[in-house]
Amino acid sequence: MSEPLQAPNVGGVAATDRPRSLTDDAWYDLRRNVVFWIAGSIVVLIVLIAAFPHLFSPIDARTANCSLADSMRPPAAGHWFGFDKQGCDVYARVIYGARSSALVGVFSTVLAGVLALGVGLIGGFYGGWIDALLARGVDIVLGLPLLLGAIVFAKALASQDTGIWPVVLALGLLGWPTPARVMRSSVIAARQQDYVQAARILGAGNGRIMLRHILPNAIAPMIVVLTILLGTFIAVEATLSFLGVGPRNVISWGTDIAEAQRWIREAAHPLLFPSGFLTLTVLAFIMLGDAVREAFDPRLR
Amino acid sequence: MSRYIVRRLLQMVLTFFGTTFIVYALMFQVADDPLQALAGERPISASQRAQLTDQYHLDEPFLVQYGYYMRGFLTGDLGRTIAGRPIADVLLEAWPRSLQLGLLAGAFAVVFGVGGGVIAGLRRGGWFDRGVLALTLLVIGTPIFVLGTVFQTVFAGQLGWFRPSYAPELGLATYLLPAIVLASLSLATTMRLTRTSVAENLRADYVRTAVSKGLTRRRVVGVHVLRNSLIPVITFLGTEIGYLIGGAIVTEGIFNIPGVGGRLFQAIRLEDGPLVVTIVSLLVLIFLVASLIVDVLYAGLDPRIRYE
Repeated sequence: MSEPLQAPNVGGVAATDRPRSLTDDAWYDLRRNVVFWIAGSIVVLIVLIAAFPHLFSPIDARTANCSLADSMRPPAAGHWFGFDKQGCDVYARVIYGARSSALVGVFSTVLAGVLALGVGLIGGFYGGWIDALLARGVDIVLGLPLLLGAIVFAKALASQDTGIWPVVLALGLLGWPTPARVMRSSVIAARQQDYVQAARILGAGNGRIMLRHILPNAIAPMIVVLTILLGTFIAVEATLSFLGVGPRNVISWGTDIAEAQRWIREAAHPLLFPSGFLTLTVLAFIMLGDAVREAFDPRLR
Repeated sequence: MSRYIVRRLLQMVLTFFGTTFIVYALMFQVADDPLQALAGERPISASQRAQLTDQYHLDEPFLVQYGYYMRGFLTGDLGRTIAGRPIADVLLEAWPRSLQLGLLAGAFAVVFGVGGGVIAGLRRGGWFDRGVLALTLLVIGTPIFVLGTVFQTVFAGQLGWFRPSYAPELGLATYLLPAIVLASLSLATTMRLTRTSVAENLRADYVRTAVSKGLTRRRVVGVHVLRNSLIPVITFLGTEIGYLIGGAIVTEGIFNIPGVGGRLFQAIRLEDGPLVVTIVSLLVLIFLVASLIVDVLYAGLDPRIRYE
């Protein structure tokens, strides 16, 4: 079970460079992992599309004049994904829809990450009644399944027309318990390490130990969980749009899929293309997270 | 053990009140005008306003309102929908459908998930294993509403194998396609979990012992490996069954099944606030009870786990 992590220097061969850390090991593994490169490229591509949609589509879906004469026209040269019921170019809508998905994913992950970091770090470090109190908070939020909670949240906030923010708030405020639990257990593991004792003997205060010594060593597993969570958030955002409580007045894959489903008997292409992009994006984040987790967790090798 | 159960029960009560309080507070406090939030975008008449104010005790302080609501909830008085129908009636009618759908989906997940997972785990690295890994990953990455609409289009629409929406005269058969969609995520996760578990246990010491004792492969796999591999799988399935029975919002919505999830789906679309809050509270209760039962069962299944 407990194999030495640094194998290269066995036999007393003096290495010219410093011994490889766990992070170096993980990176060494990742560089050779095909899945990591494929998933990573898709993520980069989606981010580029979300940031600069005009580079990918000649038609600006937000201002496009959709003509009902084009309604449900099948894919053809120049309009590879065809047209939807309103006669809008499906490709342009898919490209411009990436932004709301990406923004919701990133902002809600950042919010969930900050909350999880605080709760996990403080609960794991101090233990005792503080930890017990925070653990009950985690229980309460976990008792509300993500989709159900997000529906109620988003619906309650939806009366004010504020774009993606109700959904971001809903996902962020409901999504933090799982990463917080991961963070808490890795903080507890790090707290017992010798370097923490050493820092304490040298006179470091709680705040310094937490931020300078424990945080950098305990954050990796949480980041991995957050990567996977980002994929989940994008899926939930689309599901909320599909249910009609998603972001309003923005182009979104979920809304387009819901709309296309109503006219499914006429043509399937307005449904299949946004669905494909959505699945690809969610999948990319899950695979990326899995690849990084495998690299960081030597037990899975 | 009994001390553990009592402690878990106390925690559960706390969680239930905390969670339902959040839901309640969101529905009634976040909006500027809770009555209008309840009624959605429809105009609201003075008599409706008076009736709702009375029903939810909106003229009382907030905590008292929540107290009244919870008292009603726990004594079986679930209130009325916006249209005035008793919510208890709606749910009693919807419940059997969700139960049938959920149990059918659960059966799919168990039979195909465990079956496929065992085969993949035994032939680790083979083509079947690779196929299972790729396919289950695809399913896990596909949001269920995408899978549902695509399956509905292909299998019900174009191939004509199933009806595209709920047809009560068909009996259990009408739940077949929705159950496949609903089961897909649990099935994929079960399969991966079983596969990993079986593959790991095949290398365990007790398996080597069993083989060297001269037991047949069938007995080694069927009794020794399987029994030990299924512990994590059963735990997972236990928490999933609550989701399958109660949480089928999207699936029931797509296939128009008037179960609990389908009612919630409609209630969201019709902006029926009271129904949304009640169903969500009820589902929270189901999830909490399901996870408590699983935790207790876990100790019974795996003698290595002992709660003080």
